[in-house]
Amino acid sequence: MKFWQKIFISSIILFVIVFNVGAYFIVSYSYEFTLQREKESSIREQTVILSSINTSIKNYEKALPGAPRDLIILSSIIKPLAEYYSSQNVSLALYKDDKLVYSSAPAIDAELLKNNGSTKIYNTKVEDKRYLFISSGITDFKNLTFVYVRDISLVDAYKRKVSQFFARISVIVILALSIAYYFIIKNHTNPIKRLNMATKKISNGAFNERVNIKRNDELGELSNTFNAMADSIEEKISELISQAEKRQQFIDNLAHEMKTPLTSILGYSEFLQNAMSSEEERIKAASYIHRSAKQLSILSTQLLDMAFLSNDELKLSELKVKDLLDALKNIVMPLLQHKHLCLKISNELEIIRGNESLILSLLTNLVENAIKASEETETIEIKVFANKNPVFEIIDYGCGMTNDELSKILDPFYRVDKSRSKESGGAGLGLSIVKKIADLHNAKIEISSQVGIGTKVRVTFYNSLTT
Amino acid sequence: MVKILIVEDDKAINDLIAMNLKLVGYEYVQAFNGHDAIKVMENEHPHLVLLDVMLPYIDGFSLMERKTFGDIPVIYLTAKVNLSDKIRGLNLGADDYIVKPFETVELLARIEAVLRRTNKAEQEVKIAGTIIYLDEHIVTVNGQPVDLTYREFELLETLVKNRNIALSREKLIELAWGYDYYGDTRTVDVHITKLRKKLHLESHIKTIYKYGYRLEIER
Repeated sequence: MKFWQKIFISSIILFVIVFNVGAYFIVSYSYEFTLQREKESSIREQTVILSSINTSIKNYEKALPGAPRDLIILSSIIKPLAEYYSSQNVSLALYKDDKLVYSSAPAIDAELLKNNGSTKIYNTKVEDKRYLFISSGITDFKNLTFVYVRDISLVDAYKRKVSQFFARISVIVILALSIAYYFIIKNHTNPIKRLNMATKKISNGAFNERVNIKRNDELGELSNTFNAMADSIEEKISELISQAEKRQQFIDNLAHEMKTPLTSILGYSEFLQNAMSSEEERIKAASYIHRSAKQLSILSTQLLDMAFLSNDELKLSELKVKDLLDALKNIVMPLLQHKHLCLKISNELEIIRGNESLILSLLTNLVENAIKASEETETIEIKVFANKNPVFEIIDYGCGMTNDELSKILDPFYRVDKSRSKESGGAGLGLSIVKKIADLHNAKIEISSQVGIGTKVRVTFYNSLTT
Repeated sequence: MVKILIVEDDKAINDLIAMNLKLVGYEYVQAFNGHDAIKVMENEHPHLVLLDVMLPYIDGFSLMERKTFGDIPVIYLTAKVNLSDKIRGLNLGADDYIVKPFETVELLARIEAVLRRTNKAEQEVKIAGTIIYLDEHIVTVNGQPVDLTYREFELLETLVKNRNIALSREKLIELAWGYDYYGDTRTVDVHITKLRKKLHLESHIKTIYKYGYRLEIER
């Protein structure tokens, strides 16, 4: 059963019970009250009739002293009275001892006659009619019993009518109430339904689903909380999706990067094995095999570097910047000489905090990129200074990059100039590694570049000591 | 002679394909990126295009969308293996799809199949005094037709299509007679001997020691 139905049915049932119990008490009380009034007025009337009978009998005895009080005479005294009162729904009866003298009333219970002079009141139903019986001995004639019987069926009829009225009222009120309740409860429980629907949609993958419930109660609060939850789920999911996409892209690119040299290794070795080839062709094939294998070897080294960077805890120590720069110079010198490039270094820092081999790898990668971008005899600058935090700048005056290239430069396997950088042995992972190392050192990389003017890479270390 | 355009950004692979095409007697033109390909198409009229998908500047799919190659049949060469790319490639009007890394004989077979479908394949091959009419299944030596069994012709056809490339006995069986052929590799030797004798090709069909055979034709 639904929640709103439960509330609806239980409210209606409760109302029916309360209303009917109330009605029952009202009807019963008013019935008792009316009955009581009937009794009181009956008693008064009975007293009047009783005394008049008493007087009549006394007068008769005074007029005819000693005359026998026989039944005919007694009956002649009461009969006119009975006839007079019959129009007022009252019947009278007179008994001498146990013997009936006169009666215009319905059958009388014998118990009523054993009154020993006192008054007995009794109400009962005889043949669908309610009667009030009042019996008492006649004051001065103890062997005579007078019974006053009043038809009070009207009281029952009144009770019946009131009950019916209440029944009718209750049906109408319940109907009206049901309709009102239905709308009220529906209105109040509607947010639950909407929350439920939204939950279903979200669980089916529609993570952008929200509920719009503006209320100042717990349901309003719940829907606000619900929306906040949905926001955070959506955010997490899209994060996961973009991560998965990035990973997929990385794998796709990696597959491509591996397949290209593999294709030439397989192809050229097959060629050497099977083809009727010239000496020149054989040398060409062998050199391609050698170059491709070298490319694969670089790729695997860089992949291992990246894996190492992802897994390992970083050991930081205080490094002398001068030593770092000297080591860097030694590493890149052959490449610089090969292109007849000039390297200018300016340094204002003494110590930097970091991992020696990683920072060296970062700088080497950046300088190598600068070398790749530079034409022969150009200059590459390295500036190290403090700008609140330690800053390393690597500046070249080479070919530069477009904004489009700049936005992709940090993507794994992205190469600005594919053919040339492949010949110079890169796998396109250099800047990915630089980025990882920078992240590990809480350093920020900013690259600015203009086509034909050059490129400036600025690395700012945020967790390092400035000296 | 059949001319093939190779569009592939990796110089090593481009050269590799070129060397193999040259080996079996195709002419070739090389392009190393999308711009190159468009430029080449202005001057050259190749009979078939081998097209890498991931190319600098303009990728292979875009070249297809631009109808750079008109009605010329295209075979994709790519490292991408997923199905949606395959379907996209073929929907754009490619004739076949070959995934790197590939075997030379496989590439040659695909090229041959596409050329045959478009009626641009080689019709006759001349080796000294022997002429092989590939479509008609006729072979003449010094103008005189020679009777060859069906199996012998199939073997000869395979050697001709992969000329200057050594084929192992197993490969010969597979290419000439199909995977379902249950024969001893000695059967190949028997047929080769017959071919040499019937067609006077003793000096052209070379035995490669412990491997197989190679049909050598002057390049």
